[in-house]
Amino acid sequence: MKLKRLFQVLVLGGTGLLAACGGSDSNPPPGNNTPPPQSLLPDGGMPPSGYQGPLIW
Amino acid sequence: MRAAGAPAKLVELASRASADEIRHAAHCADILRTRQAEVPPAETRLLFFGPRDLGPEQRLTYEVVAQSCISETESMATLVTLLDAARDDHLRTVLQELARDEVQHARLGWAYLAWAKDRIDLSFLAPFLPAMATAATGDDLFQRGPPEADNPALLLGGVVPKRDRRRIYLETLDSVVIPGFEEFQIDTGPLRRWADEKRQALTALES
Repeated sequence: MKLKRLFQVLVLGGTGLLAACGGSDSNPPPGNNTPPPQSLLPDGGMPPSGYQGPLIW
Repeated sequence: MRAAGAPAKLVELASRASADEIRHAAHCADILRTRQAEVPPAETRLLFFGPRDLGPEQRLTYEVVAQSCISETESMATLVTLLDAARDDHLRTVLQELARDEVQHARLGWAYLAWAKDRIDLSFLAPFLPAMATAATGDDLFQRGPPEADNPALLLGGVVPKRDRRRIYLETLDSVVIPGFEEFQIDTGPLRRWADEKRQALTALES
C-alpha cells in the first residue's frame, strides 16, 4: 500500500491546492512545506489540474 | 460552501465532485448490468451527516471532513488496491477514471481545512471523528461476514475482500487520515482510540 504517497498526494496536495492555483483567498499550508502531488495511478496519469512541475522525491 | 465564502476553487471542486459521483454511479450500474447483477436504486436524497445543533459553519465543516477527509481519502486507498489488481480492461478504465476524480474529492477536504483553519476553531471536530469514521466504514465492516466475502478472487472483479478492506481502512486511517488531521492540530485522541478498538475487534474476528 502506497500510504506515504497517498498522504503526500491527498493531504499535502490538498492543503497546497489553493496556493498552487494562485487563489487570492488562500493561506499557506501547514508547515509551508507542501511537496507537489504525485500520481498514484499505475499509468502515471495525473489527475485533472494536477501539479505539472518537477517531482522532487 | 459558496455561502460560507469559500474560495471559488473550492466551490468549483465541490460542484464538480457532485457531478462526478452521478457519473460514477452510472459506471458502477453498467458494470453490474454486464454481470447480470441487480442494480440498486439510485440515491436521490440529499443526505446530511452533521448534528443539527451545530452552527452553519461547523456543520459545513463536519460534512466536508466526513465526506472528503475521511470517506474519499479512504476510498482512494481502496481504488489504488483495486487498480493494482485489475486485469479486465473495461474495469481498469473505469477504476482509473474514478481514481482521477476521487483524488480531487479527497483533496477538497484537506484544501477546505487549510482555508477554514484560520476562520473557525476546528477543535470541535475531535469528539465527532469516531462517528465520522464509523459512518465511512458502512454498517458491517467490523462484523463477521460470510466466508465468501473474504474470497481473494473478488479483487480481480473489482471488489476488495472484506478482510482486506478492514486492514486497508485502519492502515489508511493511521498513515493518512490521522496525520492529516494532526497537520491542523486537531486532537486525534478520540479517533485513535476508536481505531484501537477496531483493531481489537479485528483480532477477535480473525482469530
